[in-house]
Amino acid sequence: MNKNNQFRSDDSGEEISPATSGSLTGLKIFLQYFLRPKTFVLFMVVALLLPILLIVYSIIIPVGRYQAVPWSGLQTDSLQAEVKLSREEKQLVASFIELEKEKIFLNNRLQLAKQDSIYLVLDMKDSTINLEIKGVVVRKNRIIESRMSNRFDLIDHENLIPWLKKPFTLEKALATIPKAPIVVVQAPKDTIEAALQAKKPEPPQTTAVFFTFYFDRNLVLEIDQIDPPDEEDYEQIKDYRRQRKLENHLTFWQKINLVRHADQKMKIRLVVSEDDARSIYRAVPMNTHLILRW
Amino acid sequence: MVLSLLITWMVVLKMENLVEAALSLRPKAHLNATAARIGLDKLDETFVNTQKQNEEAQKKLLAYVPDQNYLIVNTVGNNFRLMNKNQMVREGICSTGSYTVLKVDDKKQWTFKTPRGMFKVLNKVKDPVWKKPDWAFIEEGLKVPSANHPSRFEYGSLGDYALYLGQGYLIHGTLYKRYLGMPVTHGCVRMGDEDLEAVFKAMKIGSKVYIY
Repeated sequence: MNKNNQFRSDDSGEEISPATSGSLTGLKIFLQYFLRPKTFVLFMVVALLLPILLIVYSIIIPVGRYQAVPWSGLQTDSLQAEVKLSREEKQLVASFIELEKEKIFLNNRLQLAKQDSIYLVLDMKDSTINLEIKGVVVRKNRIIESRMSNRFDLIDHENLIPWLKKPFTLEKALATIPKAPIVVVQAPKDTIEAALQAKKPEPPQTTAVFFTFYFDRNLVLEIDQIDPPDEEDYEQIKDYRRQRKLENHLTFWQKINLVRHADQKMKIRLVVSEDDARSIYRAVPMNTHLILRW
Repeated sequence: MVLSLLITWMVVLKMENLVEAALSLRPKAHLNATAARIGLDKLDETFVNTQKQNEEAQKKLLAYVPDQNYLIVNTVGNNFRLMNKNQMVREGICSTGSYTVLKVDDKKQWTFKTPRGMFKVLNKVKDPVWKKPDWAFIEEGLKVPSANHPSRFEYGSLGDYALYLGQGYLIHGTLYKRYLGMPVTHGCVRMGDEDLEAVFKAMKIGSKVYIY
């Protein structure tokens, strides 16, 4: 072998550098240590236990300890009360709770009816999401499919009252379509330019409508159109879902602490027709209100 | 081992869904706290009172629905519904604002959109005359004439009837019937001849128009 050659060949005849040789030695030492029966067994046990530990620590324990409060700004003094109820009393209290929820729903509608703005009334009992102006239903939209987070079932009525007591206010929205289909036209300098600018109006584009409304007090409303989107809309939908993912992004540690986190998202997912989805998204102002009943 | 690490990764990725599933196994909300707040002895009384309050609220809500005919205009779908109480009397297509922004310079521009909310019919006019605003001239590349210059007054272009909603917005007819159902106007609501006549006859001064 040439003295000047700083590389040597391994058994396969290929030349390897001193750095590679060093890492190979390192690997050999590691394998010698790792392949010792005790170490290997320990590693296997840890690796096998990892998902179990993760499930226990981040799902089973937190869910078991979960205190169903949808919003940390709630006052829940009376929750500690201990009262034993008979079956009849339970039924009566349950119907009273429904009545009180109805009262909140009606009062919220009355409150918004006094305002000028367009607002949303989401009635899960009726499977409708309506647009209202001054107490008048201007558009009734039928909900085709819906899914509410299981957190809704766990919230005690005493926690629900302050959460539902006033209408929710829209804080942010993500969508596959623009809020208003604005086209900017520069004013023509003369009649010749005006004639060149003039074009035949085209019917509005029918792109896929998927959107998410983020309301205050952690209420999130996701609305999807039922109609399958055209292939050309896939990119836009992908982009919207990416944005939504970023919005909902949680770090690993946040995920682990998810259930213990005080302010958790109360998600409702609705599927409506494309026409209804478009009307809802375009019609409501960016600071619109929502009233909820279920 | 690989499977184990894969499961770990899946758990991390689907943590929220798994938590949701686990939450469904928890017992539902208790009634005790509500019972304690009201007091079991007062439950019947509170029940009846709340029922009465709800009936009153329902009545108040119903009072918001106009007694006379009213119009609902959908600017997204460019259609309308003429209503009486909660019954639909007539429906049809119309044209609303195009959402075009006519830009003269950084300071001067117009956005051609139909305003949303509740309006009232302020005036009703047969054979209306259109007093063209400044943008109508600018849009055509013409010089803007003086406020009452004869060139501002156009006859016949608004159709047979007009209902005034205020702030320069009207419900009127159109010469461009082929564009009905499309968002092509400068903010007014355009209707076909027959629909316009029916709406004109059904709506009184003071009747409500809801635009969304």
